[in-house]
Amino acid sequence: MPKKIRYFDRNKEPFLSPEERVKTFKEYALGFSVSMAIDEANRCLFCKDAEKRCIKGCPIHVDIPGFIKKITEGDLVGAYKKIIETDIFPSICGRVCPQERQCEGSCILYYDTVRDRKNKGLPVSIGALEKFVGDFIRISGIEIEEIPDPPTGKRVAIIGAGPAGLGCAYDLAMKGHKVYVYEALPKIGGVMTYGIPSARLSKEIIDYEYERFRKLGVEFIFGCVVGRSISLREIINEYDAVFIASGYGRGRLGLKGDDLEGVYSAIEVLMRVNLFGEKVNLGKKTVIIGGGFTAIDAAITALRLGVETHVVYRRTRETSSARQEEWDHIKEEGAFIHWLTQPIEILGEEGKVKGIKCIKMTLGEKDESGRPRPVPVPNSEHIIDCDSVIFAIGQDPNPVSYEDVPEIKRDKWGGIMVNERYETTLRGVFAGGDVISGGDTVVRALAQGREAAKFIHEYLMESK
Amino acid sequence: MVRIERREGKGWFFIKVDKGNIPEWKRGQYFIIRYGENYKGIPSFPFQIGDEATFVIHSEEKIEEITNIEGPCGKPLNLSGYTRILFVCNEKGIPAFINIKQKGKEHIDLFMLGSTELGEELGVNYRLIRSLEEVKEEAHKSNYDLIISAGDNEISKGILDLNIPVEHVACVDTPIRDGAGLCLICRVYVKGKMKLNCVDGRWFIAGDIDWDKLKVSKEEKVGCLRR
Ligand SMILES: Cc1cc2nc3c(=O)[nH]c(=O)nc-3n(C[C@H](O)[C@H](O)[C@H](O)COP(=O)(O)OP(=O)(O)OC[C@H]3O[C@@H](n4cnc5c(N)ncnc54)[C@H](O)[C@@H]3O)c2cc1C
Ligand code: SF4
Repeated sequence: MPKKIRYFDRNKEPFLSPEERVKTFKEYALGFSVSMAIDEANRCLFCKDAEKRCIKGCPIHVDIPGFIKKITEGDLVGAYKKIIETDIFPSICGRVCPQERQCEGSCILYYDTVRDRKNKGLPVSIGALEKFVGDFIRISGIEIEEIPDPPTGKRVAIIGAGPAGLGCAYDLAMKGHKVYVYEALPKIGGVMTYGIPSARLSKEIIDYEYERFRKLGVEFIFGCVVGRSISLREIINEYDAVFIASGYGRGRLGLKGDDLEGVYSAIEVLMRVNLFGEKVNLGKKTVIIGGGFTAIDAAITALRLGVETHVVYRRTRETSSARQEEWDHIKEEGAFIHWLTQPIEILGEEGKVKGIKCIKMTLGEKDESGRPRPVPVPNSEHIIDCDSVIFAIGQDPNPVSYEDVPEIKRDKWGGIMVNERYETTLRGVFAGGDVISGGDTVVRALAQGREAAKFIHEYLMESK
Repeated sequence: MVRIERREGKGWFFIKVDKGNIPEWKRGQYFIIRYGENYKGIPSFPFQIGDEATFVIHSEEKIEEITNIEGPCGKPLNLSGYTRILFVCNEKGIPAFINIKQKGKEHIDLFMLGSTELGEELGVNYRLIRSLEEVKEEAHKSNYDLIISAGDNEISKGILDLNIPVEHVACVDTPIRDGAGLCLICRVYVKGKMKLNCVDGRWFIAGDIDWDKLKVSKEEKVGCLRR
């Protein structure tokens, strides 16, 4: 009998209620139970041409029907092994990937990517299933053996322990190279640790992944600011190859009045709360500027600090780069969202923030990105009173690690230029992740780190 | 490997680390001493006593365990070309003074404001001054070719207000968190441009800094007043 297509009965991950979750930094998405996971897995059609659909939509090309099949068979270890062939962090990507724009956006139930037309159903919850598999292995304590090849005697230095650096470290260690990761902060994870709030990504997961790397023999040198604690040139001289994965993580400001007391970069607020466990004083009311992941995370954080939270964004919800469901989540938690609102000046009194002057926007002609350009509505200036302003308008490059090595060519924004083999303009030095892309996603950084590892391995084996 | 050496009833204590367990620092570089499970960090200038790198921590908090030491951070201080230097600070600036003094051969005099207990404890030679006016007088009399100020920012600002015709470098005191140039909490406006004290500092030409725009948190201001 042909399989009945279950277009609509998508299992929804249970969530804490908005009233409960706003009181805690603990995760609010509670994950599938075993029965929900198996039921959801059974919605998959196991398309024969999945590599043109969900697999293609996934930036790291997880064998999606492959791991889902294993779930339906009750083989969760097999499912985990299948996922980590490509995505070494199922619990992380299952949580933070914008699946609606990636794998789930290409699931046949929702969108027929081969015929390029919308279908009538809801996609399989691929992200939640991936998270379920990763969490099952972690929580059950099942040891999955990851056995590296015999030692090659080659030594590689990696700058930065974010997803790009970790992806590269994993593959090089598996190939038998000795890997040393230089990280300025006291923990691995990069933005996953200091940026994404634990309400979306529990830090226990990062700690678990750290142990995996330790078992593989990867050495971490924490508290080492490359470019200050040690020069990149010294590192280049000491190792057989170097991979720079220092991200694009410098906070950004940029509005009249941004030097007032009470103005923060989102990175400052997130890092102080997430990494250092501080209670940042945002006053009674804060205004967050921006419409991406960072703005959402700043809002999640401000709400949990008990602050009246407003987000101003000059475009619309549909054109924002944040996940659509996240807007709903922060709204349910009490955030005020001001769409089509452009801030023009931060207002102060005695050196302190007292409000933000904004202007309403309307959508005009399409711009270079294909999105309608927001244009100001005449005479629509207005003031939102507030005690603090958080800039979440993207990040700038942080060139500290490589600024003293001019042979490494930079792009016009200050990131690093590489060729298709992730090679910089200095032989033996490779780069990947946000430092080459200018800011993307966890899974893309991870994919680049792993891809770069292939070329670094080739380079190491050629230069015997 | 890491020892916490307390002094009863003082607002500071020592952290001592075997030199072999900490990377070598250049003149003027600092470290961030992190403690507790949240890696709270205090920036501190190292100096050497015997075989140990020594840090002075000004904190009322009870610190039980050092969880990470980040650094050396910041840019080194280059003093080539200067021969007679006057270093002015309060107690908080003494570690920076010893750090600078130990790594060079120039003649450096130390003028201190306020409490000298820490200076006594560490055996530094200093002249106790009652007001910054004495800096101006002495700068006229002795041929200093550089003034360095450290400790609380008020000292640097105070010297700047005296318009002494001698070059003046200040060690800027701001909150610092990551030490890697990420969060901007330590931003300093230098000649109208944003710089980061954690990676570009901690040493700037005093007259180039917009002192009014420095971010000093409320807690720090209170701390400052208490001292
Ligand atoms: C607030 C926020 C939320 C986000 N949310 C999501 C999300 O939900 N989903 C998603 O897919 N993407 C998200 N992103 C984007 C994603 O996090 C990044 O694209 C990804 O982390 C980039 O990885 P990376 O390894 O290139 O760099 P990073 O994650 O930035 O890691 C770089 C590492 O290098 C270290 N480093 C930097 N300079 C030095 C130095 N000089 N010496 C030593 N170490 C150094 C840093 O401390 C850091 O640990 C978010 C980004 C932000 C800022
Ligand atoms: S496109 Fe959807 S239904 Fe087809 S294999 Fe992928 S997840 Fe399963």
